[in-house]
Amino acid sequence: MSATAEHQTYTGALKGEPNKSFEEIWAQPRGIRSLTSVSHRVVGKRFIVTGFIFFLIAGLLALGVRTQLIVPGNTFLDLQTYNQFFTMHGTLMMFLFAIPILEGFGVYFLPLMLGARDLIFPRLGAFGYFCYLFGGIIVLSSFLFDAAPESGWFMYTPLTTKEYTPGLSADFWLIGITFAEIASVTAAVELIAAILCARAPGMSLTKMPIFGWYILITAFMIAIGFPPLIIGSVLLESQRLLGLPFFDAAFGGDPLLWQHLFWIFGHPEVYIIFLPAAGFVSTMLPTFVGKPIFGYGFLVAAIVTMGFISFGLWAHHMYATGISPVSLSLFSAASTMVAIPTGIQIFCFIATLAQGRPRFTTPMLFVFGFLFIFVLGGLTGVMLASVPFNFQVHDTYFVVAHLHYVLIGGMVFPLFGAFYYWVPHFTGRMMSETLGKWVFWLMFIGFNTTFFLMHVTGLRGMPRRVATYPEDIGWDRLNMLSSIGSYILAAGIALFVIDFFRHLRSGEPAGRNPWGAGTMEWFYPTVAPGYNFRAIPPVRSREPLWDQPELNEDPAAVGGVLRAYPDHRRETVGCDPLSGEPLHIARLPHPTWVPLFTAFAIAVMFGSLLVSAYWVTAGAFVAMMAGFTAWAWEPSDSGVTRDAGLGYRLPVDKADRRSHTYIAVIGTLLILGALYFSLVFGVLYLWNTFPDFAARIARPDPLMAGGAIAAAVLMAVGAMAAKWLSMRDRFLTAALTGVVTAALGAATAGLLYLAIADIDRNATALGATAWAIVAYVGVLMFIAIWWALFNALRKLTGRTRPGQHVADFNFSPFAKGVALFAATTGALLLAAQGALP
Amino acid sequence: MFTPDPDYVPFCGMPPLPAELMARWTLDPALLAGLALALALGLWRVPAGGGARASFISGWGLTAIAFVSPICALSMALFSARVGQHLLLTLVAAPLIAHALDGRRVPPMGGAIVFSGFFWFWHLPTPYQTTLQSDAIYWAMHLTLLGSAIVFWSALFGRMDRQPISGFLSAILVGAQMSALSAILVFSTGLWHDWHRAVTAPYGLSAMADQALAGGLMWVFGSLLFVGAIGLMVVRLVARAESRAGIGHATSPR
Ligand code: HEM
Ligand SMILES: [Cu+2]
Repeated sequence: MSATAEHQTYTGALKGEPNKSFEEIWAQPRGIRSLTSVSHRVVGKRFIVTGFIFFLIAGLLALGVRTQLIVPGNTFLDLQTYNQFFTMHGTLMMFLFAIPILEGFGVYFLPLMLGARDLIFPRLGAFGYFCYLFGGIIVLSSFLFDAAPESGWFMYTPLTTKEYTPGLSADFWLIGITFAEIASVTAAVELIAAILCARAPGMSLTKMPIFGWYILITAFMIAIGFPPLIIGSVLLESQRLLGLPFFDAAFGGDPLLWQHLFWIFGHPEVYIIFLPAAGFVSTMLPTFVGKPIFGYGFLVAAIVTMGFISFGLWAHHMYATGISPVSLSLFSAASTMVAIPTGIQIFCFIATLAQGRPRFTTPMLFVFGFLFIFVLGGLTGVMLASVPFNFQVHDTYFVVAHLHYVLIGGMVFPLFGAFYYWVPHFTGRMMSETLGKWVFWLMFIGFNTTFFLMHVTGLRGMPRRVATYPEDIGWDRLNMLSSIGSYILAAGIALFVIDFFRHLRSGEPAGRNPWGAGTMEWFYPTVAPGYNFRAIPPVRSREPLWDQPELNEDPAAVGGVLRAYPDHRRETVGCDPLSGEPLHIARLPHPTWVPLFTAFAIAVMFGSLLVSAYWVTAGAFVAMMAGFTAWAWEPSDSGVTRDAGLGYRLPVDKADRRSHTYIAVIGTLLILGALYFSLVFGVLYLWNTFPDFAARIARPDPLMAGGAIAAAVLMAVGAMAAKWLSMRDRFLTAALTGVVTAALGAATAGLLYLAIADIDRNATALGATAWAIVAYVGVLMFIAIWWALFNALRKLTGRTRPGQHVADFNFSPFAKGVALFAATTGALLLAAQGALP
Repeated sequence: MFTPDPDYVPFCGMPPLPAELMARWTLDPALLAGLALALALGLWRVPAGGGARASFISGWGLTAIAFVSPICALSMALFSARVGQHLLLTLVAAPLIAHALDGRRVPPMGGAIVFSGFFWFWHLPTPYQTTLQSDAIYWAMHLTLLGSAIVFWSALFGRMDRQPISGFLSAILVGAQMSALSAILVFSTGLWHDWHRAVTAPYGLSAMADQALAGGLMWVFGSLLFVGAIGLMVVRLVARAESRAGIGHATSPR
């Protein structure tokens, strides 16, 4: 059959399920097959439940810590176990509870609020969840091997190098957490694309519920903030495994480089945790006040500026590392800067409250708890920003108190409020208001008893991370009370868990929109069907359920786009990122094993790395690549147009700069760029701090470096040419151009390798970092080559039909991005060649 | 290759002592003529009304202050003053001027890359040194730095409401490179610019402290200005979109 003849018979959906009804197409797989589910409703719930379990485990560890400290000279935990407990407590709370559970809420609620049937990359969501789960299991399993990490949640070098932490404990941390972070960054890309590209018709960015803005900026921050830690972890792990001297001062490395990379991540992390929680608050407040949020535009600006500022402040975690006094005072001033956007948000919340008469429901109590505790945490933060004070209380319980005021006040209280608020959406039943108030007061009183007193303990000089303390130096009673407080706090959390299980059976049915909210997640009576919207209604307001009376009628009958489903596929409407006008029909995947398989392959890869079974690693790598290939191989539906209702006729999966796939490529490049930038920062930092070592390394070969730049440029041109040809349906020449592009990619990587081949990577940290950069570019090139060949293969095997251009359209920016990194590397090598003596 | 002239006096003069600083205004006729020309050009091209003119004039005024006032002379003694001057120009004067221009023709990412490139280049030791050895190079530095900053800001303002994504990515790039450069300066263990080695002491700063201060200023003051500009831009964008869409005031039906 010739290509054109096939085009005419091509109906537009090779994977449609023609004998299924709409409900059946969207039905969740049951039993063991539920592992194939890709629905955001399932994945979001899994994130939330798993995150909560990690919270409970980390909470139990904290109770262990508090029990050990209840009396002086206690022997409940030995020293090593104590170290493991507080390290794992901090690690689980920060990496495996806070971020994933907040992302889970985003994953679950955003499509509902924005008017989409699913998140825009359902398989990516499922994949991210499994990565997170396996990463978490790897970290937790260290307890079984009696190798739990014990170096504190920030894993400072040199303590964590092989010399001072032999055994596997640090490896468990580095590998498991890196794996879980992959989940976080994939979820970030997915959330960015979903928020920008899949909203109800007419929902412009400025009509988006404020929660969407909070998650959007948070996702950007994750995409930029996590890469430095990923790079740091990879460098540290390769120092431990391969002996490369990145952080070893004897070879011109710098333990402080780890601190930089960690805190470039660690400071924004605090805001990454705070922002979504503030998003909960600004969603719940209007509901209970009955008025829209005050100062939408100021809130958006505050969120954006907070995102920017948070990346410039990491040095304030390093006051005690010998920064010059002038700079110290500047950082000190700067650290108070973040009070401005925070203050704007708090004032907007208070102004919203002042607009009406708030209803004092349990979620509202938690909102008040948040305001109270978080503001206090902010005050101690301002105190800590002052340098002399900071020196005084550095590494004491004052810091522990401060960080828990910020984290528990800023995140845990809004989270529990959000549980009470949204639980009816998950289960269709209300939790108890009476018990809820008990939960609140127990948590509130318990929390303040535990942590308020810790300020005093800290001022009296008790250092953090000590397993015990002597009697009669003024710490006994405070510690005793703190420990009792922590039991009260725990009782509150336990009561919440009890209430949750109770309500599953005997909670009052919630019905439709139980709190009278204005946002779209309450459009259906609880529990909403898995497809979210039978037809996707146009939205004209930030509080559609308040302003658009038609939305309060029978939800299955409300008019909207995509009521018809001619191709029997899962689909949702893709929109213009700015105006929200429908742009195309986005086809969504049906349940599949691929995400689980691929994530499992990666887990085996990391796990085998941990026990140095490199053959298994290689096998798992092949399995992973097979998984990704199967993922991408699925036939494309693009190249046709369909009636979408309401007078729209839309293309399917359009190749467009505004489509979700293109935006996702850009988002991915942002992450890759941040990884690259972190490495370059490492090189410049080491070079600048230890210039004598720079003098010792061999010069890179300028000819090869120049050649690499040229090859990279040609590769970018090749990718653009392939796109140009493919857009004109000239598939054979496009495929051949793709093969040439791949070859140029290989040449670029090879030339970069030759340029640095003379540099000894074991002799200096700088040399090792140069190798790391080239290795990283090599990995990116590998992906680009794979993608180019994949596109070519699909065209050569007739899997690409006329009018189907998405793959080449999206490959082009990726190839250009990778070529840019490669060319920059070449230029850096040339510059180094010139600058070296 | 460029050979330094031992008798050459930099454009802003030799490093002043604190006592003479306040008398050191730069009233160079060429500079004044250039500023007047720029003002005339701006008044001719920038339409009156809508705040564009006021914005241009304040941007121009700050530019004039940065060069005519003793800031110019101080920047010969202190690297930190030099950095302060650059920040004033690229992060305050440039956005003000850009606000008055129509930047819809330039892609923001292109503007960001060019500006970042110049920003790094002119702060590196060798290029920095040469600006103190020739008026032409000194002016090449300021014109490329200020010019590319104006291009970047006007592209950002002009395209933000149509291409918010590349707008934001370009802002991220500019912010990130500035933080990185300042961090490297702050944590440097050696002196970057020999010129300042012997001339900072009268101001009570060692040359290294002056350099750390320069990095700190760029880091802190720079982010503050940068983020402030971004924040104002977002507030204006949302307000414009709101008035276009006529967003009403909903209340709960309860
Ligand atoms: C549920 C109640 C909690 C209690 C009773 C508690 C208690 C404690 C205590 C006593 C320490 C100090 C251990 C030491 O220095 O020896 C600590 C450390 C820490 N906590 Fe919590 N915590 C709780 C919740 C949280 C939450 C929700 C987070 C974050 C989201 C968190 C993050 C941390 C971190 C990062 C550390 C520092 C660990 C380290 O020093 O490496 N905690 N916690
Ligand atoms: Cu911080």
